[in-house]
Amino acid sequence: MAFNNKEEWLKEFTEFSKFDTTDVKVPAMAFENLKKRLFPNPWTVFGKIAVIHAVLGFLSLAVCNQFGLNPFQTDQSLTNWFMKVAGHNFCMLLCGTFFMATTFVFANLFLSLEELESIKRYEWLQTGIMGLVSLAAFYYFGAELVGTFVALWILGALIGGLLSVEGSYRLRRSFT
Amino acid sequence: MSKDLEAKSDEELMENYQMGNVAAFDILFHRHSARVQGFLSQRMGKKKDSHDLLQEVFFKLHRSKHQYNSTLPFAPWLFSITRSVLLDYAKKKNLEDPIDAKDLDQVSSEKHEPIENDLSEVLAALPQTQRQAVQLRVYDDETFEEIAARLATSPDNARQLVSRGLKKLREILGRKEG
Repeated sequence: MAFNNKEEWLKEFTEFSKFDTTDVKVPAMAFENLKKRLFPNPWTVFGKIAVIHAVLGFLSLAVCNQFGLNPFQTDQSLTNWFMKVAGHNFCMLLCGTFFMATTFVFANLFLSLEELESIKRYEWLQTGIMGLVSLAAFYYFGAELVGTFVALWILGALIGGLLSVEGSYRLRRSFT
Repeated sequence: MSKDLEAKSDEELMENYQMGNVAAFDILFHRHSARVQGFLSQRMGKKKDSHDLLQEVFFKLHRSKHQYNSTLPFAPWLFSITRSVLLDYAKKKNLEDPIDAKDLDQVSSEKHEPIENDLSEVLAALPQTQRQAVQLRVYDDETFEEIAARLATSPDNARQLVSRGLKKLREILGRKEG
């Protein structure tokens, strides 16, 4: 419903701006609830992302084996292609990027815009911790982690994480 | 909350908030929530719902913060958000009054032809606000809350305006028939 003319708009706006607020009581709960909704606890969001990452990261091993881990015994994998196209070092970098980026791109489906904002506020921390935890998991499942490759993989994971967090957030915001 | 921030204008605070300063949002909320709450309560009459809508207004402000141009005044922007939240609420509620619905049916079915012919003449006989209220209800199919928002009155008053207007219309049309 639009205003019929400027006078109508001005009349109502004047009423709004000159509203006598002496007797108006805003409950403290309104502010607290709003803050919880706008700025969700970063640890809660991290927990959700960790679950999404655990599931997606595991599934992504079917199309992109990390450090030789191939739980689904697939013959062809993006890793082979990365290796052919860019060599071993770049392969590690691209593997890290892919592994981390899938999580944050898919997180769009499960998280609210405010939760994505929360990740964005701590993107270095979230991506870094997630990368290190993933490496620990790979090690636990028998991957052989070698110094340079690990460094390149972490670098790729950070690049993939940061770019996908930013991209996911912008994409989501444009549709909200 | 820092005193530096508190001394800032609304526009400067919004600029700060756009850059990620959450404390600026807190100040904006404390500065304007009572006005928004009061305005909403006056339009809606239901306190509990107005508390929910107050949160909705600031939630919407947060979501559209990147669209705010800090060279423009903040108050009209906040007012637009408040009003759009209020109208969304009114549309969602879409409250119907069975008595008024019956009245509308009577007027439109029994007197269909004469109404169409003499409508402007008959409506002109009503006082301006009553006429506007009836027109919004009958032609635009608006809810009482939407009418209230449009006529800057309460939903109860809007309901009364429509009801009295329809009653008067029936009397006029009755006299014409007679």
